[in-house]
Amino acid sequence: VSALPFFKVAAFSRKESGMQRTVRSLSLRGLFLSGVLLAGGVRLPDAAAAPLDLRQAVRNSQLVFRGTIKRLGAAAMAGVPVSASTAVVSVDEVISAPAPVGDLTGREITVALRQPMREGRQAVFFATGWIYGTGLAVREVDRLEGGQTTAELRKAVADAARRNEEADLAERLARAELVAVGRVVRTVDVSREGHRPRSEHDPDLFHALLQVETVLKGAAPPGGELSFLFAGSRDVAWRRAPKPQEGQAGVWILFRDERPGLRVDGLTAFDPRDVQPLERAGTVRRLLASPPRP
Amino acid sequence: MRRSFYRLSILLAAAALATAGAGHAQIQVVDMTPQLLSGETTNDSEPNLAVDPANPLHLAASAFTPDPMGGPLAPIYVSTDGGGHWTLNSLLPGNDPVHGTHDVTLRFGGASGILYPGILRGDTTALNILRAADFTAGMPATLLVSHGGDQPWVQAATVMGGGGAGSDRVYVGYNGALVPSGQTATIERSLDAATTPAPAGFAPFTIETRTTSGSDGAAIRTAIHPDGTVYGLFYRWTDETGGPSVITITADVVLVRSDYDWAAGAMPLMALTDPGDGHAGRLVATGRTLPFTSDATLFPTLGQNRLLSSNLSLAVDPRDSDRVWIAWADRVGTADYTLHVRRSETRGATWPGPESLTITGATNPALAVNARGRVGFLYQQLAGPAGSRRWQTHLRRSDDGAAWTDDVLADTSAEEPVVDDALFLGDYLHLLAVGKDFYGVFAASNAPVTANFPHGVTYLRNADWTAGTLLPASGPGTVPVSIDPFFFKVTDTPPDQDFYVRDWTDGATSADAGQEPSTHPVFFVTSDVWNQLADTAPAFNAADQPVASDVRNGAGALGDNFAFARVHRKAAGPAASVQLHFLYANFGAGLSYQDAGAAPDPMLAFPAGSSQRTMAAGYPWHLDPTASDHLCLGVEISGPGTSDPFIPPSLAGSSPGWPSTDLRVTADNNKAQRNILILPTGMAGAGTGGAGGAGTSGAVSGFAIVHNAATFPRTVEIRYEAAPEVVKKLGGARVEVVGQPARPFRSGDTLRLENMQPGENRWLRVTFGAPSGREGEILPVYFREMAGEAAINGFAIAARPSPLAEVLRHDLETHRSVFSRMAALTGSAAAAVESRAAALLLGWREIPEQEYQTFLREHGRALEDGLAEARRGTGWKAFGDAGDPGSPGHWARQLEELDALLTVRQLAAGDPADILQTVRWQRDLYRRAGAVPGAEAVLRESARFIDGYTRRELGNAAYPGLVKALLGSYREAARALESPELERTAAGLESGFSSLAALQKAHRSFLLALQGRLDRAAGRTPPR
Repeated sequence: VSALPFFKVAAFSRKESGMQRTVRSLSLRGLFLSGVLLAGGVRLPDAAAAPLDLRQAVRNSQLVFRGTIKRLGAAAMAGVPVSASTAVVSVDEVISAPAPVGDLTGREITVALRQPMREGRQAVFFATGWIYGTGLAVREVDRLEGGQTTAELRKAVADAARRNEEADLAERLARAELVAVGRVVRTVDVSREGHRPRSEHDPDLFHALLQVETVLKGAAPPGGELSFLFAGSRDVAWRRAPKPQEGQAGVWILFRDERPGLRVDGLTAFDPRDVQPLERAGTVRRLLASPPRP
Repeated sequence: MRRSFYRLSILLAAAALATAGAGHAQIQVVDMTPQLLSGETTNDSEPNLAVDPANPLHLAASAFTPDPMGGPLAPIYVSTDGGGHWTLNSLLPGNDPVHGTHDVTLRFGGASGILYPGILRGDTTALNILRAADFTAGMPATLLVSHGGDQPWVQAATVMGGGGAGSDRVYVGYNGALVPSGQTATIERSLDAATTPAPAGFAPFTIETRTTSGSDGAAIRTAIHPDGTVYGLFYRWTDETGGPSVITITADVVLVRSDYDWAAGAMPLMALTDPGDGHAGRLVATGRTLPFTSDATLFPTLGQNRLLSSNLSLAVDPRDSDRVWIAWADRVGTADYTLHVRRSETRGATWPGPESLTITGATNPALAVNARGRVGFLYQQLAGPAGSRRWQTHLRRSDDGAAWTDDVLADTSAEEPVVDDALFLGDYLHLLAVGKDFYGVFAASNAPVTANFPHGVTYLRNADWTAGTLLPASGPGTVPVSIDPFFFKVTDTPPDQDFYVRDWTDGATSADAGQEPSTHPVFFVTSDVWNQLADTAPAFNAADQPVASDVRNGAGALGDNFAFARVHRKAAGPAASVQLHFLYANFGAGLSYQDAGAAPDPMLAFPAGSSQRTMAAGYPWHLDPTASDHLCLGVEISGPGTSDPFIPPSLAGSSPGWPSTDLRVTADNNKAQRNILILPTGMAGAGTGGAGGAGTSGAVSGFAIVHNAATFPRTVEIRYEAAPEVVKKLGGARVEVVGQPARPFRSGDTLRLENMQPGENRWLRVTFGAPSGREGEILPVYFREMAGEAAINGFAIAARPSPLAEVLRHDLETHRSVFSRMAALTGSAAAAVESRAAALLLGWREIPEQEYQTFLREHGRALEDGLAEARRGTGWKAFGDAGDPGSPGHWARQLEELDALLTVRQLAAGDPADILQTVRWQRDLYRRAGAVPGAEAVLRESARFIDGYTRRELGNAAYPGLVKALLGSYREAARALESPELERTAAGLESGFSSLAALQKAHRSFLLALQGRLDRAAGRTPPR
């Protein structure tokens, strides 16, 4: 079945106001139906223009919104360096935004445009934070122009974000020495074995003894138990590191030599992603069996 | 509904922007969290702050603040309005979504405007040293260095003179990687960080010379003085007991120092040794007790804030690198945490007397010393009973280290919010001084309660001050209390007591408003100090600039002048009187000022409610016939009592900006100078013979001196500029260093005067062709003495197209003045005749042009003869101007040259204006000399003289006594150094007491010989 009647994806370059513009347009409805988007990335029919890679756009941005260019060469708040590429853009709809910036709907923000765009045009902007003051200034990462609905966009962006997260986890799983489902039966403070504290940024290493249920990757430990090191410190340097508790069950993703400059002997779990809840065991299995494209 | 909530929050935000609570105008406190982020609840603790010294409206700050949208770059706080408003700009690599960066500090270069952050990255914890050329642009900072280490603490300065002038020097103290010796106190240094590519010359060195118990403490602090002195302070851990988790550390507080060399040597910061063990590094306090752990569950705490032995501070007095302040924390009893403040007047060698301050139950000490020498001490003290404890943030200030003011900037909850990482306040905050003002940042609980801020506060984030709750950026609800960074500025002088003399006025609505430093690039032309020849009511032109007259020299009433000033104050206030002190200097750059007139300083009375007064009567001063009338005029004012004195050093005996420690006129709004030479010129096409008439023969020239006012040989850079329309109108202007070929004037070019010795003078000459401007229009060319990109001083030479009659009268007056000078200096009867002849003609109400022609014909020969006589022995040769001998233009050029030559001869015989510089040079040479016999007396007496002189308590009259008292020391040094030249010049000093000028000349000869001897000993090329 040809998806083309729905697959209204176009990328073209054209002259506008004397400036070279690149505009992308796509029908997300068509993309869903075709499954192209879900496969990750969109190959546009016009080879002259770069295709929009939605997953990449989502990965590189924190704010996605539909907006209309109000003024070019301007800024919506003081303190933003104005240039030919800055524009005041009204936020028509927020597709995805982090909580700290609040609801931006109806507000005018400043966008440092990646490509020129004409006043009055509407687009979906993928942007990353730049300046936060009485208002917001962002840097455009990518852009969509088209008539897709907000619901479609939100779903597509959420899906891209989920796929990015899975790709990152898959990459981590691929590098791990051992992945196991199990329960922590004991933790032991080993931070002072052989040395005194030197810095508040010391990891304060603990051993966690893990009762292994299933090994998903790597060699099964003898006796069904293994131990790994984790950082007990709540200092800024280690605050986000996993802090396993006795009795805690999960999927444990363990490494050797994970932190440059930190010499430890044994398996470690230092990254927040290194412990996954039990209910994600299926996902981990799937990702180990069939890693998605990065 | 959403819209109505949004409107409500805007209204409340507006209310929050208004200052909450009664406060004193001179203390400004601002919660820095931007309005957009009103909903944030992160604990933004451990803040730091940088103020651009070249533009104090530019500030940058840091805290444990993540990028609000979770992007890859961590933010800094940015203000471009002096701290009133802040934005977050994300530009630091490695954002941690919870904390942004980990440890972070930042500083601006002294004159470059470049920001240097030092961070522990949020993603990898690597220590990065970074550079942000434009910190407001939000572009990612450039990575210069990346490696391991802890608590990077950045200090930076721009070299203002000598070798490396203009380069940014950056010092990052940190606790380095563990090494077997345990000597981990490290400083990473770049001597030219601004422009060189990564790693920008950064190289680490250890400042620990003793054994440790395994490492030094994490806090490594530095302080930089503009004279190149660098101090470092750290905890040396000597013993550890207890444990395994919480240990008790025994530590010494160690001060290290580098002398006047920017820590550029192979063994930097090793100049200060301890008298006890002879090791580099003075043990200021020994055997101190510190609690420590890295186990967050066991952190020793004060309130909810951890105590990690990171609490050190260090500040050097910008007026005198000998005076250094330190603060440290330790545990005196069994459970306390105590801050100690001490001061040394001897470069850290001795620490006499009791502690200046001892504060118990407090943490986060920070010291700074302002341009006045006033020290500020910022700290946070825990108060109140358990369960309702408070963090009180104190700023204390003192002039002498004994009597302290105490301002509580914030008195906030120590219980709310509840934190689980003991990072309530963080391990540090920051205080710094720019000019007279103190700037700082601290972390505190952000509940919007008026009573929490005794001096008032401004919240940028939304808050309901009635309910005492925080509000989101939009929508309903409230926001939980968290930790925010708070900026503060203490304007040291209250606005109604802050009197100033404008450095510039561009128009009725555009003028210097007393900023320090003032920001106009031309701060020496339209200032509010000026001269008049008559004691008449001052007049101002349409641009609100005073109408000034040239200075006049001569005997009797001919040399009478009247100095005037207009004084403003920043805000109307009670009745007050301001004292004015007028000074003058030879024309050019680097020339030392001397007192104008012997009459008592005039007082200017401000009635209550007034904010501006102009002297109704001038200050009478007389310019002897021996003096050139090409001068700079300066004024320094003092407010009533002790409220607003000028910042020492006085201009007397000094040149603004030099030698490196002298405050720039722009940095003290109590000082101003007028430094412009105006040459009336004929107008292109107007008549035939006017001075400056068409063609080269009609050109006029002006001369200026460039004087090395530093105490070391250096290359002086003079940049000259003019507006494009002025360049066009001047047509064919030329610039030359006398003795070198002239070059066409090209705006923006720089003259490099190589290897100028201390006190040496060189001359510049600028020649204008045939200006095409309007009658009376001032066409200025600006000359600025540069230290890198910073203009530290300047002067202007301007052409003023004028009617022929005005030009000729001006030239006739110059004829009178110059020959009067010559007669007075040489006793020449012929010169006296020339002067009288010009004076006679000047007595005519109207002088027909033919009378000028006759005068020129009859007196041109005398001018030629006078020039030939004056050139003898100076090395000057006749300028090769194509010309028309006998024309008025030629006449004017020759008169200017003769005036310059007379000054050359005069200065060659010694310069009383340079007496203070000579003594400073003596002090610096003897410091270099080290243990030379007699050095102790020379250093002691020099310091006493300099101190008294810069406070205007001593003058040139005390100079012969100083030299006489030190003659024995000079002889001792000459013998010890086995230098015949030194012995000869030392003997010459004994016969130099005939005049101040002769004594200064003999003294300078001795110091030149001493410098040469020291250079030879150091293997340096002797001065030419």
